[in-house]
Amino acid sequence: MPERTDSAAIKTAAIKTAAIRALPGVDLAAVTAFVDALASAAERLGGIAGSLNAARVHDEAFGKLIDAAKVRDAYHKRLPATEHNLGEARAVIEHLLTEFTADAPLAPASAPICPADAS
Amino acid sequence: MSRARTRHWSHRYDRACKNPATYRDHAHDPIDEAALAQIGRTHLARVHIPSIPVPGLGTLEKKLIFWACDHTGAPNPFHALERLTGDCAELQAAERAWEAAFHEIEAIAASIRAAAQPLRAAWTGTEAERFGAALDAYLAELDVLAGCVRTTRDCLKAVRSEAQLAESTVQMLINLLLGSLGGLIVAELMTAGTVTPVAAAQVQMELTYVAKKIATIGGKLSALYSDVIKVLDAVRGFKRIEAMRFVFDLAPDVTSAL
Repeated sequence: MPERTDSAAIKTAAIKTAAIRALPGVDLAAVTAFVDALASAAERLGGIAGSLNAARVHDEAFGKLIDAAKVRDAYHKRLPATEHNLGEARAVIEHLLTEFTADAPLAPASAPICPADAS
Repeated sequence: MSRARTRHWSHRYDRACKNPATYRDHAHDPIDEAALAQIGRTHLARVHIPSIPVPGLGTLEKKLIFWACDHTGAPNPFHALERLTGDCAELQAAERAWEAAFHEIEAIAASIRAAAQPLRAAWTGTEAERFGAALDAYLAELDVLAGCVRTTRDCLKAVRSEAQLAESTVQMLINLLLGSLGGLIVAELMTAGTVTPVAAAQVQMELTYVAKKIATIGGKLSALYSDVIKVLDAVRGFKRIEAMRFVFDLAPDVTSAL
């Protein structure tokens, strides 16, 4: 896997090294294992997006038969959409990770329901 | 064995029937196969009797065409065929990338599920419930994402397989056509043109067959492409995951709406 130095990787590493939050009635080792699993998942999701570069094909790969161009266009849209979805999946994991660090504040009762409402 | 050879007005078998013992006296000498082979070896060794050639594109001819095109710069007909039906090697490489991605996402989901199990078993309370609901929703979305990736792989596989089949079939049809035309030429040469109407009819029939076959392949590919476009266009967004990013900020009673 190529070395990743993007901000998301740095953020994941920072979360991973932060103190783990103690949960009532839960063994700290279990929380640590879960946090490790989440951090690993975030990194692996980033790796998938990188490996999908190999899924890029040249314009002629689908041939020149009838409707081949439409298939090509649909495929070329599908790839970035999947990469976007992978990025979303990773971002959610990173947010979940922050919830398990010692300094994670509990949400106030008046917290906005969604980011659109916050603005 | 001395044998009197005489001509008879009656058939020689009449006499043999009357007296079977005289059969040998009236039968032809058996063919001496050994002597015949010797004559062949002595006199006909340099005479080549060709079998009727049926030309077609075998591996050797294909290599020869590639070699000639590479060295002369002439357009390669097989490259033209690939351009028509698609680059199967390129599609296969992409297919492998999607397949690896699918397995990786599945493995990630499995690892999160496994790690969350002891946590969920021991953790209780409102926040734990919100966490449980959020994690379930997230893992469900991750499964959907894996499914989308697998579907993309399946689409590529279907397109590649059909394109490969079309390419092979077109090559087979070209072989058939060349064989037919070659056979016609040979037949014309050997019969000094006397078989022209029959051979021409045969070739026309085969041409019609080839044309129909190509039309069938085209139609089949077109139907497949139509289905693949529909599937590939249906990219599912991750709005729920996007909303889930703020799940821990939600009030407890709102989580149930997820």
